[in-house]
Amino acid sequence: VDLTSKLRILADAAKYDASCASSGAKRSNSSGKKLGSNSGCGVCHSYTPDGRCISLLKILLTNYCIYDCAFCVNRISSDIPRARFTTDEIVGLTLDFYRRNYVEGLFLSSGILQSPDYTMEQLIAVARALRSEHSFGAYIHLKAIPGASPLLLEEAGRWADRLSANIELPTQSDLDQLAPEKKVPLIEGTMHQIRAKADESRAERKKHRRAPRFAPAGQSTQLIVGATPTTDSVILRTADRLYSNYSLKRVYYSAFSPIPSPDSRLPLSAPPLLREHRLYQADWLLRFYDFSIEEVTETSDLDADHDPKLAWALRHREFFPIDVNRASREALLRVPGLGYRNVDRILGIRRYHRLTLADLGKLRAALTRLKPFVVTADFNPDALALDRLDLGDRIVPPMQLGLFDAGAVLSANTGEL
Amino acid sequence: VREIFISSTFVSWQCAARELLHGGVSPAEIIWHERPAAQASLFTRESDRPITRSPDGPILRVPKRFIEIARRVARHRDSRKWALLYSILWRIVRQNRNLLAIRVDDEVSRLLRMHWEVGTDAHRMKALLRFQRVREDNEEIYVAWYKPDHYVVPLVAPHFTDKFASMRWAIFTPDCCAHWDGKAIRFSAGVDRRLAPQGDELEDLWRTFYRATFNPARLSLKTMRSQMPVRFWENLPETDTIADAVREAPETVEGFIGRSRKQPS
Repeated sequence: VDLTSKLRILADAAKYDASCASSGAKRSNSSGKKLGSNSGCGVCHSYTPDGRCISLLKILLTNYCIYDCAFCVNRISSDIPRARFTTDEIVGLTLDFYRRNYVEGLFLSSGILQSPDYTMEQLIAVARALRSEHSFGAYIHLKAIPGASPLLLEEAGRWADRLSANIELPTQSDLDQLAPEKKVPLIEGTMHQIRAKADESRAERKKHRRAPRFAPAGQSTQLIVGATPTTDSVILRTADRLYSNYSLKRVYYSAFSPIPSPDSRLPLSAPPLLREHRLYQADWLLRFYDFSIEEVTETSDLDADHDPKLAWALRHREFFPIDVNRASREALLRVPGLGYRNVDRILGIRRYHRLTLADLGKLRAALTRLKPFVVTADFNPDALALDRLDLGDRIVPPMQLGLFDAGAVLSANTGEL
Repeated sequence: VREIFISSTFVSWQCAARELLHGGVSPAEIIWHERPAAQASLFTRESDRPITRSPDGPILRVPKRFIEIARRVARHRDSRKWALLYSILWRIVRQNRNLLAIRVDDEVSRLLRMHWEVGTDAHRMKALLRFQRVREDNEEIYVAWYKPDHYVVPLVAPHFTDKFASMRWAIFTPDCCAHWDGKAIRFSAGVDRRLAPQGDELEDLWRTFYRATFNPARLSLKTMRSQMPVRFWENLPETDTIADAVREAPETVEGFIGRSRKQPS
């Protein structure tokens, strides 16, 4: 198999991993001898027609795999072409793409060959070659293979900026149905190891500035949404537990997407993109808006018609209206249509100026969603609608759902509008 | 009304603004003109003289944040920026030192919009610029042609010198060019697109990757276009595969689903 075919097969096989971040790990190049650096903020070098960014050369080392996870295109029973890169091929592609400014670095995952340890060793070999033989200073994301030995994880974290072990599905019973070889304790054991090594390295570096860093961009994970009937509240509780137990930087939610050679146990439909979007919104409420897990899981599934913050506000009218000129930061964060950046702007502005409704428009806040829930310096007639039973429909008329980006995406698959 | 002639740089505006401010000349009395200066002025490195230091007159204190914003806004292509900068400077000094915090003020909001546009353009250049490898006197040199919206080359150059320190490279734009020889950065006059190299041997591999990493089950062209505006596509070799990828997507996905339906369950 030639390099082009390998790249086609192994990029195709890697694309179902949603992780794309290249941020969070500052690596400077003050000596000027290295190839590549990382400013700490990610760069998206291109966008594909699915609207997702290309930041890293995202590939598998190989799509041969000994496991038979029903949702995975690379499972052993899948009828697809197989390939395996050599270390040198990946190193060469990474350097060549990086020098031309196509990518910020490498995302390397793999099917499981022989054993978790063997597979982890192969991934480490690539990262080690890039860092030590080619002075590669840019971003590297390695998959942490669940069950790999602690020594191997330690070495992986020495070369990589980010490590990720995928939880894949939200509960053990989901895994039992679709990925019988995967065990939650094994996956979380790997996450625990990564966290422990990262904490250790941070403590060391407080004592000795030159102590080696361990995966400075932290760890992330991914879980697939819509392959099993598990509800949003179970998914979010899993995510919340992973965030707090293992200091994850991100949980990625990946709408289950039809794959070549699919298993008959799986849903034959377009990926639930709107649901994925709502899960990300709820995830952000947990991480940036001071919502508790109980608050975002008051209903077993998230509301499709309203974003989770609006849905919470509709359920908790007693909390509103909020006076934008007096309310605390915590209260402002609860207002639908108001992002946390705008909350901070409002706090800055109102020291010198009383905000009107028009001012909120100038901040490009989502006025339709926001108006019924706030009091401003001028008269806001929409605040009178707060007690109306049909408030939710007034804000998002039911007919408009199809106009949502995610809705439009769904229909684009079938060509219908 | 006073007609003020400056060259198109922050420092030139700064010197003029300092004098005008000391002279008590209000923004309404000034018409700003850009001197058709030597092109070199677009990319000269600027000194760090703060507005507060003035040979005569009282010391004027201006928030550091204003200077940071003004430096960046000075790189905007819209020449109305000079009048706007002076008007805001005037109001900061005369009316409210904290004016910049009031983002909903019309002038402040215009200023911050320009500031954001320049920042976005600089970030986009870091993302969408593509190098092509050429050989020159037996040496490899990486050359890129790029057309930024604003005068951001000097702003972005340090990013590339840090990232590609060990390479020899050059960036050509219509406004100005940057050259890195492995030790120092040098700027020169802008060039025409025709001087850019035509194609790189790696582009086909890159297109292969781009095509393979696209998920046909999640078509979302609106997001793609908003993040990667079509006016930059001429510079991005991968974009010539988009039309085919989009056309084939529904059939590909239908194929996945159809194949599985045929399987006995």
